[in-house]
Amino acid sequence: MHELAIAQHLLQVVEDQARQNGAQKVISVRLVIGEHSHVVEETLQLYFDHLTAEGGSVAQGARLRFRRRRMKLRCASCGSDYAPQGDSFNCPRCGQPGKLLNLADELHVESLEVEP
Amino acid sequence: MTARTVKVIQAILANNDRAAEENRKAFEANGVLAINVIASPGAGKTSLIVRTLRALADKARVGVIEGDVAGQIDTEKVLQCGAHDAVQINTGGNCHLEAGMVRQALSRLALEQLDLVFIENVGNLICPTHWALGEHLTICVASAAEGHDKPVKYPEIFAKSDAVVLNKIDLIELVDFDRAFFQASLRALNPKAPLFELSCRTGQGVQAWVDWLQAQRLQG
Repeated sequence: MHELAIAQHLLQVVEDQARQNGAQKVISVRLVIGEHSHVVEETLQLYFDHLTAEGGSVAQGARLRFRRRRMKLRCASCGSDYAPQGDSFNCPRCGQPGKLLNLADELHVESLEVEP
Repeated sequence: MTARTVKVIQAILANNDRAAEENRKAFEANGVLAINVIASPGAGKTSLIVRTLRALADKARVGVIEGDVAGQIDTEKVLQCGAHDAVQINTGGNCHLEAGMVRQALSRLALEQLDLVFIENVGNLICPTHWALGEHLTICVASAAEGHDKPVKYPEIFAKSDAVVLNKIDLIELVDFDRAFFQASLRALNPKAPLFELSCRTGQGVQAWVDWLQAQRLQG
């Protein structure tokens, strides 16, 4: 839904980092994306390609590679860590409420693969 | 040619965050508390702002930044209902406000004359949550008519909110709203944020929200 705006910001980060590191070409970009960032991988790649299509960008043709993170809670009763299942945030083992450990809303660039 | 890996570790929206920080400084330089109001379409963002404007009529000067895909119906409405100043942002299709849009809006808002500014985001529970605007408080408005499953379906906004408003509480018996389920999932995500159950239609519960908001105002 918001992938175009994210792609615009992403391209700026990638071009800035490539320039700072003296890279001629970006081959791939590794991203960390939480499940609640609601980013559709194909759509983000589509807009990223669209923004770099005219040429002149070091990031033209770069592949986006995704590392996904899931939401995690800790059960207040039995202490186990779990990802929510079904339509409840309760612990799947004992059914008790949990506390949020990781919301999984990350939108980060982790690394670039560049030439040379 | 050999490829090499460059470590980065940067938030994709770092530039937006920097612009948001500038907005926040502009608010604070004028002693203005900024409130980002996020909800799905029809939950009652504008109704809550209108109710708050009326309750604060002789207590605070309130400005409103209205974010919509198109049109300025809401801006006209809040000005009629007592907003000291209001500015419309039309995103032209974008499903959320960004800090840069708010920065432009601030140049058209009489910030030095205001105590509070509501930023009414585009109606959407997903995209607006990623974009800091320079606000001091994020408020999520849900409504009984939407159903009790909203915190489970859209956890991010409920986890990040400083307060949650549950509007249309007068309809609760008609729409099979499971209050215990809503509260349990909200508390798993966000143990601290106050929950205000109210009705913008009848006025029930509005005063508690207004009192809390008044207590959040910046000093000086």
